[in-house]
Amino acid sequence: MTVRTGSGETPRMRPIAAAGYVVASLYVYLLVALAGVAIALPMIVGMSAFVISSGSMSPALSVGDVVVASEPTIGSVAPGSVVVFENPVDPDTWVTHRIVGSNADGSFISRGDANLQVDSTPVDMGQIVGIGRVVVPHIGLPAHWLAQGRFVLLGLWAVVTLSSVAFMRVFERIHRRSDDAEVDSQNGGYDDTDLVVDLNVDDPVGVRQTDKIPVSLASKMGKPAATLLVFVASFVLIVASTAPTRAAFSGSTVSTGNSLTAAPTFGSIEFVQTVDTVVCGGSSSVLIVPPGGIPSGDTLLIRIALSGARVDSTVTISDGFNSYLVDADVSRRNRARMVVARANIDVALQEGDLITVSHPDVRAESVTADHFSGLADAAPIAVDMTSGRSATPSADVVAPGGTSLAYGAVANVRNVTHSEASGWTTIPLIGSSCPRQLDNVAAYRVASFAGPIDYTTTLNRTTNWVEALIVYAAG
Amino acid sequence: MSITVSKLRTSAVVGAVLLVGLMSLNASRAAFSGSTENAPNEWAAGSVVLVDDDAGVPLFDDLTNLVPGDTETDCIEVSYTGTVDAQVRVHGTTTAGTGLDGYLDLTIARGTGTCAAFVPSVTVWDGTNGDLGVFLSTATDYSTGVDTWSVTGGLPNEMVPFRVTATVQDDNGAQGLDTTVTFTWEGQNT
Repeated sequence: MTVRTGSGETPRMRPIAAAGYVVASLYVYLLVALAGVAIALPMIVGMSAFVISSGSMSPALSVGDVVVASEPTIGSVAPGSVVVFENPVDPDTWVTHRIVGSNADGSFISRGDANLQVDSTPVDMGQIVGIGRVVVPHIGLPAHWLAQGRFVLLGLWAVVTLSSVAFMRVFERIHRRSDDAEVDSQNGGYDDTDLVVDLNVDDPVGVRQTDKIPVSLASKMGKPAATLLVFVASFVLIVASTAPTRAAFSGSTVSTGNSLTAAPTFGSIEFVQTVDTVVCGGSSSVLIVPPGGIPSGDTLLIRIALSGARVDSTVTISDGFNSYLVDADVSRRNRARMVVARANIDVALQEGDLITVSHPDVRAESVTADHFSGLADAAPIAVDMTSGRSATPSADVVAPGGTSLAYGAVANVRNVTHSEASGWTTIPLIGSSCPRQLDNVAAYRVASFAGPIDYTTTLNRTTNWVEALIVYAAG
Repeated sequence: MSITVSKLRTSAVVGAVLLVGLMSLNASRAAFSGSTENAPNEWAAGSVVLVDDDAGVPLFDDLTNLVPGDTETDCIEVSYTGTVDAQVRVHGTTTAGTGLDGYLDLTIARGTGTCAAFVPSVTVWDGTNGDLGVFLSTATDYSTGVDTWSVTGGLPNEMVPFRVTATVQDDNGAQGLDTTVTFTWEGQNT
């Protein structure tokens, strides 16, 4: 008796099923191949792999693409290169953008293809970790979904993939004999893949058996399972060996051309010059108007510093044409006294004209006149008078606002050094000793704000002092 | 010749190998072709987009003859119309000038409402941070930008007004100086 279990009838292979098998197989083998390239390629050529996790490099790079990047070297980074670099905002993460230019200092300008503006932070060579060489498209999607916690998508993909594998397996199982039938038809019947058992009772010698069936490809049931293992392992490896990069979408809006220009000089207030100075004049000091004169509309500020004068002693000033008004008169017992008087010149003074200042004959005095332009013909808008015994004469006013001149005058016993705070312009110090030592100091600043103004001058020793701080409006 | 599983499988394997090669080659060539002229894809989903209402007119529009104490305030409404969540920061740069920015006090305030009905909400920059010169030298790009206005992608679009104030310091050193400044509101996706 001979039993032949060779080719017999095989199930009819439906064209739709066959097409479905090709599609499913194509998908699964594509998956395996892409995964293989994404893992093996970096290992073989010593590069790194990165998964794109944002779309700011689209359309060149999409989410889920794997970029295989080589070590950056000087000269290999140039405009057009796609590079992976440390994110300046979060240095523990990476950004994949394209180099679009370079700066004078050697750093590079980068931009995501999908961004309208370049990245605002330049990229240094030291921050670049790789230059893109090969893109393995889409294969990083499961790794990306896993990293983002998109478990629904991950699950759907797993279902599609497993279904494909299952379909392949079922199809192969059903149609495994088709391979067999093909071989048999070529051999006219049987081949050594067929099991032939010859139970010839007439031959007492023995049973003739063919060799064991070599296992045909079609009957390797385990192959689809192996395929499944391979790409599960692949995706695990891709997750482990690649790094997600943020492609960093950015956008901006600007306000440009904001231009501000300061006036050439602040306010129209100008200090013209010190007209004249007289020290140790006795009971009167006569000031002589210098070349240039003093035009109508300008202002003279007369500073009279006295030491040893009584508070009630009178000071008068006259030039024969203009009226002089006392704006400040401050004294500290008989130690020091400062008088500041103002004349808004109506009748211009010429070179050689005399301004006579009458004052008590005391132990020290100095008289000086400062010529200003641009002041209003009006009383001061703020005045502070202070006195003390220290090394820091100081006075404060609150300016009401508008362009103005702040004029600080100090009279102190002893000849000392002075230093002003910044922003104040010092008028040269006048020292006298007749025999008592006395300093006559002033400084000014042009201001235009409403708010506190302080005039402090620092001496190199403690002494008795008086100070007047006066604010005059422009006009 | 009949159709066998082996033949089907072979064609699938060959197809897969060819496809891998083609896909990788094509993607690599497209991505790394070295072109810097890629037109920005304005319609890309997941983008960060900021617009403002200044119609190209500067906040400080050619202010001249400034003296100490002069102060100028202007307001700009910045809107976020992007599709992804992002954080918006402010930075700036000077494009021309002789140094007046070192003599200008700067205040930047983010508010709610509109410029016409401004309600201050966050102090982005004020005198305790430094003057305009300090701002321009420290807030130079997104990573060093100031403010952390967080925006959410998608509709409705968010808008906030920003009020920027510059005051001339009382310092004669500023006389005759000038400066031209660009303020940038930049967002990056979070």
